[in-house]
Amino acid sequence: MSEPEEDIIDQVVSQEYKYGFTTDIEMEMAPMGLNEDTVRFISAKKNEPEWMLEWRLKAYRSWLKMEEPDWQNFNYPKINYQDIIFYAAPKQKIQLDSLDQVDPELLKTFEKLGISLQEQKRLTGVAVDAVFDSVSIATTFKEQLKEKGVIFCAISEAVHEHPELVKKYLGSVVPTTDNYFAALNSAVFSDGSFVYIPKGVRCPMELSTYFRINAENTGQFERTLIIADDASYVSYLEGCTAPMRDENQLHAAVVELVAHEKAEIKYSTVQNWYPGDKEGKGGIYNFVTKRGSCEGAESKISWTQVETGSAITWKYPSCILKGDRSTGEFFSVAVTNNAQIADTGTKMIHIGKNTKSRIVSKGISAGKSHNSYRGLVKINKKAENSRNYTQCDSMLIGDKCGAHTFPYIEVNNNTATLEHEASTSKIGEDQIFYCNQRGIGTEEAIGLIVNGFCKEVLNQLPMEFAVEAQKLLAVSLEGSVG
Amino acid sequence: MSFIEQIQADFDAYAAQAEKDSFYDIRANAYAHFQKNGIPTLKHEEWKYTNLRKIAEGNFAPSCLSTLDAKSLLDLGLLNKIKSNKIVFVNGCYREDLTEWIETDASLVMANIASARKTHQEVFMQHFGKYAQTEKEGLNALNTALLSDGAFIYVPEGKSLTYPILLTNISDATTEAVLQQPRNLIVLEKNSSATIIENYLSVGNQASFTNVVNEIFVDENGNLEHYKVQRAKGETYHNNYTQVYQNGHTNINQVTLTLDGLWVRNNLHFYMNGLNCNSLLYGLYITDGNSFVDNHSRVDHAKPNGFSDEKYKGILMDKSTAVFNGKIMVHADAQKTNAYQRNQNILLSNDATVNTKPQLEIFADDVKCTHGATIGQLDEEPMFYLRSRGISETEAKKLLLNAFADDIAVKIKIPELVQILEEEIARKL
Amino acid sequence: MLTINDLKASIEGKSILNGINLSIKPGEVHAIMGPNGAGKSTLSSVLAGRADYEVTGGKVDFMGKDLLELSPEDRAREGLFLAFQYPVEIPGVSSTNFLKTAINEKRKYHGLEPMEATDFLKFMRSKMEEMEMDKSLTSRSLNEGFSGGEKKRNEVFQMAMLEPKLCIMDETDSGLDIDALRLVSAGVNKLRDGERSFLVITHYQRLLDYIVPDFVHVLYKGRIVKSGDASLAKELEVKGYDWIKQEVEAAV
Repeated sequence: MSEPEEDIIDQVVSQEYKYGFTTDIEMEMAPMGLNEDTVRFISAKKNEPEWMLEWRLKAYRSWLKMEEPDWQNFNYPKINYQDIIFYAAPKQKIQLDSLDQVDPELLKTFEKLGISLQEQKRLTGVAVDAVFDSVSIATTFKEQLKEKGVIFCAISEAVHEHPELVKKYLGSVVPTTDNYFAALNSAVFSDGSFVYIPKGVRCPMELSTYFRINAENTGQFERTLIIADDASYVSYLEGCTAPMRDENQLHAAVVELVAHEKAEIKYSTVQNWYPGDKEGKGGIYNFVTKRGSCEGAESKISWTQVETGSAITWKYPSCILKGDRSTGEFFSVAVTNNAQIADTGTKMIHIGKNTKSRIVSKGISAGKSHNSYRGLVKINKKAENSRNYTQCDSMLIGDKCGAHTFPYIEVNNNTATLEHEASTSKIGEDQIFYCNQRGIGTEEAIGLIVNGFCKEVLNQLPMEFAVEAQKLLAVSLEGSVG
Repeated sequence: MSFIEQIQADFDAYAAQAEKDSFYDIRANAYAHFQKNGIPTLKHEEWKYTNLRKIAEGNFAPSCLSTLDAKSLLDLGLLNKIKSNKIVFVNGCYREDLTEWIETDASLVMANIASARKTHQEVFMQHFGKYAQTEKEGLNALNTALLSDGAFIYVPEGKSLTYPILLTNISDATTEAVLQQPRNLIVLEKNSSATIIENYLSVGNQASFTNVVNEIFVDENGNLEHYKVQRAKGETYHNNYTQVYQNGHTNINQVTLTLDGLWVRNNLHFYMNGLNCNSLLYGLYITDGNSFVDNHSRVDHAKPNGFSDEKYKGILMDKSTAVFNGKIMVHADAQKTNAYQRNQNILLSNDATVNTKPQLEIFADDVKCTHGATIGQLDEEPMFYLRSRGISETEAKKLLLNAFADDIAVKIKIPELVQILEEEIARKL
Repeated sequence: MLTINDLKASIEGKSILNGINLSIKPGEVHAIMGPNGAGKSTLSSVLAGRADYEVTGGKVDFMGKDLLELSPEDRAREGLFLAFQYPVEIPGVSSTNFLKTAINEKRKYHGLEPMEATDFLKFMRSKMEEMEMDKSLTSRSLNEGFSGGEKKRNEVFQMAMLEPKLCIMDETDSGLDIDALRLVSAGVNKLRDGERSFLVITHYQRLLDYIVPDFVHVLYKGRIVKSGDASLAKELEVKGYDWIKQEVEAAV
C-alpha cells in the first residue's frame, strides 16, 4: 500500500458516525434486569390482555432453560441480562391522536435523522411508523391506508384493536422457543409494527418503520408482524440508528412475515446501528430473527438488506416455502469496517412443489473486520422440481480483514436443481488507477467500485432508499483501500 | 464388552507391555485425548451429517487371525497387474509374504511400521504423530493410540521411485466383526518424487471398521502422486484421515475414488507451509443402496503464492447419501493465493440425499478464490439426443456419466485406475 | 505544454527509461515508436503516475506544473488523459455514472460547481452524436463484456467527454481490426483542434496512416534514439527496427 492510500484510511477511520447524538428527554424505564416481574411490568405498561401476558411468560420460562448459542466463529463478551433495561419509553401518553401531542424533542430527533413525521413533509409514497427506544411514537398516513383496509400500526395497538389477528399469527412463523434471542424477544418485546393487507389489495404506498435506540443501558426488542392476505402486495422498509455509547447495546428483534396465496411481501432493511469506535468499543449487538412463511401457492417473499452498522450483526432472514410454486429471495449487502463483525445469510426451506429461491449476497470487508455469509438451502423430500440459485461474492479491502463463506446445501429430492457460485477478490489496483487517471480520487473510486459490486442488490431497493444506501456504503468504506 | 470397553482393554494391554519410549508417549497422549473427546457425535459441527453411532455401538475387535488366501484375491484384481512395489496388510496386520519390492536403489524404503520404527528410528520419530492432530479428532486419537501396523515409505533427498507403490489393506470379516487401524507414514525429502496407490478391499459378511490415518510429509521441490481407491464392500465402515504437510515448491496430486462401502468418511487435510505450493484434490464417489459417503477436506494456505484446485464429483443412486464439506482457509500471510473448489452431484434416484457445504475462510486480501456447488439430474436434452440416435437408455446414461466423471478421470495418470472407474460406473447402472 | 527532461524510471529495481528528452507544444501530434521492450508503455505509465514505477531521475513540466509531484488524479484533472492499452472493466458501474463522477471531480478541483444531471446528460448526448457512439454503450457496465474495438472507442469517447489538454494513447491500435482502427482514428482526428496535443505510442506504423503525426520518435533501450517527421514512420515500416538497433550499437 502506498502512503497516500494509508492517509486516506486514517481519515476515514476517524470519520464520525453522524447519527451518534443523544436526545435529552424524560424517560420512563423498567427496573434494570430481567425476571418474571419485568415481563409483567412490560405487559402492564402496555395494558395487555391476560392471554398476551401468558404468552410472554411462557416464552420467558422457556428462555430460562435455553443457552446462548456458541457455534459462531467469533467471540463477544457474555451479555449480562441483569445489566440491561428492558423497557424505556418517553414519559408521555402513548396513545396519540395527532403529532401535536408528540414531544417536540422527539420530532426534532426524527427530523435530524431525516425522518419527518409531518405527513405533508413526507414524500407521499411512504407511510412511517417511528419507534423510539421501546415504543412507537407515531404512525403516518394511517387514514389513507385505512381506506384500502390496510392496517399499519404499532403492534401494542394491534394487540388491543386486532387481537384475533395477533393471536392467530404472532409466533406462527418464529415460535417462542425457536432460538435463544427469539425467546427473549417474545418475553420482553415492547413494540414494533403490525401490518395487515387484506385480500386483493395492493398497498398504495411503501410502509416504513424507523427504529431509534436512545436511552443508555437499554436493549431494544421490537417485534414486527406482517400478514399479506390472498393476492395482496406490500413493500416494507425498516431503518435504524443509535447514539454512540461505550457500552454494547443489545438489539434482539423478531420479524415474522406471512404471505398467503399469490401474495407478495417485499421487506427491505437499511441497517445503520452504531458500529462502535475504531477500536471496537461500544456498538450494537444486532441479533435478529427474521423469517417469512410463503403459506399459500404462488406466494413470494423477498428480503433485501443493506447492513452497514452494528458492532456485531448476526441474522439470517429466511423463507419457508410451503406453498407450491412459491418464491423466496434474499438480496444482501453487508459492509464491515474497523472491528465490526457481520455473520449473515439466509435459509431457504423448500417444502412445496416447484418452489424457487434466489440468493445474492455481497460482502465487503475492510479494516480488521470479519464478514461471513452463512446460509442453508434445504430441499425437502416432497419439494419436486425446486430450484435454487445462490451467488455469494466477497470483496476485501486491506489485509487485516476476513471474508468467510459457509453455505449449507441439503437436498433430499433428485428433481431439484441447485447452483451455488461464490468468489472472493480484492478491489483491483488497476481499477483504482483507471479511475484516478480519469480524475476520480481514490476514495470516490472505491465508492464507485463498491456500489458497482453491489448493484444487483441495491437495484432491489425502493428508489429513494437505494440512493440512501449508496451514500451509506460510501461513508462506511471511504478510503479503506488496500 | 462394548466397543469403548474393548478399546480400554486393548490400550491397557498395550500399555502393560510397551517400552516407555517417545513412541509410547505419543500414543499415551493420544489415548488421553480420546478419553476426553471420545467418538464424535452429530453435535460436532464437522460431523453434523455423519452419524458414528453404529460404530460407537458396534462390536469391533482387532484380529490378525485370517485364513484368507490374499494372494489369489489380489491376483484377480486389475491393480495388482500394474508394475509396482507392493505391500499388503490383512486386518491391519503386515503380510511380509506378499511384499514385492522391485526398486534397485537401496536408499529407498518401503517397510511396515512395526519394524521401520526401529530400523529407521530417527526419520520415523522425526515425523510420526507430528501432522495428524489428536487433540480434537477423536478417531485420529484412537488410531494413534491403538494403531495396528501400516506402511512406512521414505524417499530420501534427490531420489525418486521408479514404480508406484501399491499399498493394499484387506479387511477379512468372515468369522467376526473386525477393527483395523492402519497407520501410514510417507516421507518425501527435498527434490524427491513418488507415486502411491492406497487400495482398500474386503471379504466376509460380518461388519468391519477400518480407521486409517495417513501422515504425509513432502519437503521442498517434492512431487507426490497419491491415489486412494475404496472398494471394500459389504458392511464396511471406513474412516480415513490423511494429513498432508507440504513445504515450498511442492506439487501434490491427490485423487480419492470411493466406489463401494456402506459407510465411508474421507478427511483430507492439506497444510501448505511454503511458497509456491501446488495442491490438487480430486475425487469421485459413486454411491448406491443405503450407502453413505462423506468427503471432508480442508486446505490451509499458510504461505504466499499457493495454488489449490479441488473438484469432487458424485453420482448418487438408490437410497444413498453423500456429504461434501470442503474448507479453504487462506491465512493472513498467504497473499497471492489462488484457490478453487467445486462440488458437483448427479442424483439418479428420488431417494438419494446430498448435503454439501463448500466453505471459504479468507484472512488475506490479495487472493482469488472461487467455490461452487451444483446438484441436479442428468440433463434430459443429451439423453434424448442419444436415444434418438438409437442408443439404449442405459448405454446413454453410461456415456453421460462417463463424461461427467471424465473431469476426474483425466487427473488420474494410471490407466488401470481409469479402467476400474469406468467398470464401476457400468456395473452400478 | 509538456517538457520531459532526462526522465529516468525503473520497476522492481530494473531500469527501463534511461533519460528521455521530449518537448510537445500545443496542437502537436507526436508519435513514439519502438521495438518491444523499448520502454514505450513505461513512458505512458510514468507520465500518468502508475505507482509500480519508480522515477529515478529527471523532470517533467506540464503547463508550468511539476507533473511528477502530482497524484494520478490531479494529473488527470490538470488535463492529462491516458487512453489505456487494456481498458479496465468495472462491473456494475455504468459509463454514464463513471463519466459524471469524473467530470464533477475535475470541476470540483477547478473550483466549479458540479454539473446538473440534465446538463450532463445533454452534454453527453451531444458528444455521443459527435463521436458516433452507440447509446447502449453508456448504460452498460464500464468496459464489461466490451469487444476490443468497443473498449478502445470508449476510451476515445471518454477523451471527448473529459476534454483533456494532452492525450497519451498507449498502443491504441493493438488488437484492432482495420474497421475498428478507422473508427477509433476518426474519433481522435475529430478531437484535434489545434490546441490539444497528442502523444501516440505504437509499435506499428499503420495507425499513423490515419492519425498523421507532426513528429515521430524512436524509443530504444529507454532512450529516444531517432526523431523525424511522419516519413520516419514509413521508413520503419519498410525497414523494420533492426537498422536502428545496429546504428545505436555502432554508436556505442
